[in-house]
Amino acid sequence: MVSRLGLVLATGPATGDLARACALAHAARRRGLAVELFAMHDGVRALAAAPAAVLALLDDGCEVIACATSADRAGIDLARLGVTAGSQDDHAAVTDGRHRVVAFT
Amino acid sequence: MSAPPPVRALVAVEAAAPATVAEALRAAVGLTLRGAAVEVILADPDRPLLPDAARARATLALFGHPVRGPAHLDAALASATVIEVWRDPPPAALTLRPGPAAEAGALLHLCRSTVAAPVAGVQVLHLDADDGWPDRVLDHLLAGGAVAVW
Repeated sequence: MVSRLGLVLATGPATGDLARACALAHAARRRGLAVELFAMHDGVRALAAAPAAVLALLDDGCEVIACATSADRAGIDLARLGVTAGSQDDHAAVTDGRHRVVAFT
Repeated sequence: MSAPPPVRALVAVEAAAPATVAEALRAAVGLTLRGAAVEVILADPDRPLLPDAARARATLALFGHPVRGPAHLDAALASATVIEVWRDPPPAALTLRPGPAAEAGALLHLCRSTVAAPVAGVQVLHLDADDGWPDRVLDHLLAGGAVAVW
């Protein structure tokens, strides 16, 4: 039984993909699914550009993890955003075979 | 607790920007860390890679994860459970084009509003086209399907 949605976000603020990922995340939460979002590359910049969206995800019970390497490169303070600093191991975990995954990359 | 089902991940690299290609290959290596079978399709497999990307490609090959050209796209799409299409931001043109063979699996193509459908006849949902698209995507996923975002 699938109980978790994994989202991968690697695109920047201009694409609108964070808003799409958020729409999916909140729809999944309404169905009682756990949601985990992993951001890397330009996706980390998208999170930094939309702190209210990040807060809404966290308030809705979603896990939000970002690649620390990408954040360091972009000079983004993940802790200030309330986002967990992670690694590629978290990327692999989000795509676990028990989950369903949508990647905005 | 039973072992999770095996993950078959496809990383399709449509991007032309070298830094994005490098990130896609880094992501592909990352996906292998918990045992996924990863296949990478490069839109242009002959394009020179940045040093980081070349190392990632070599690492994938060393551990038996194929890095191939677009001729293998349909078969990879049909069998993948996780699909990452790494592309330059729309409206950049797409060069990877899935064909009918990609429909062998339960695959739904999600197209950003500024992007045309990958190919006529495949199962396509245009994101942002209506307010109900997230629930349609979830219905598809929970029925066991996979999705590719273009």
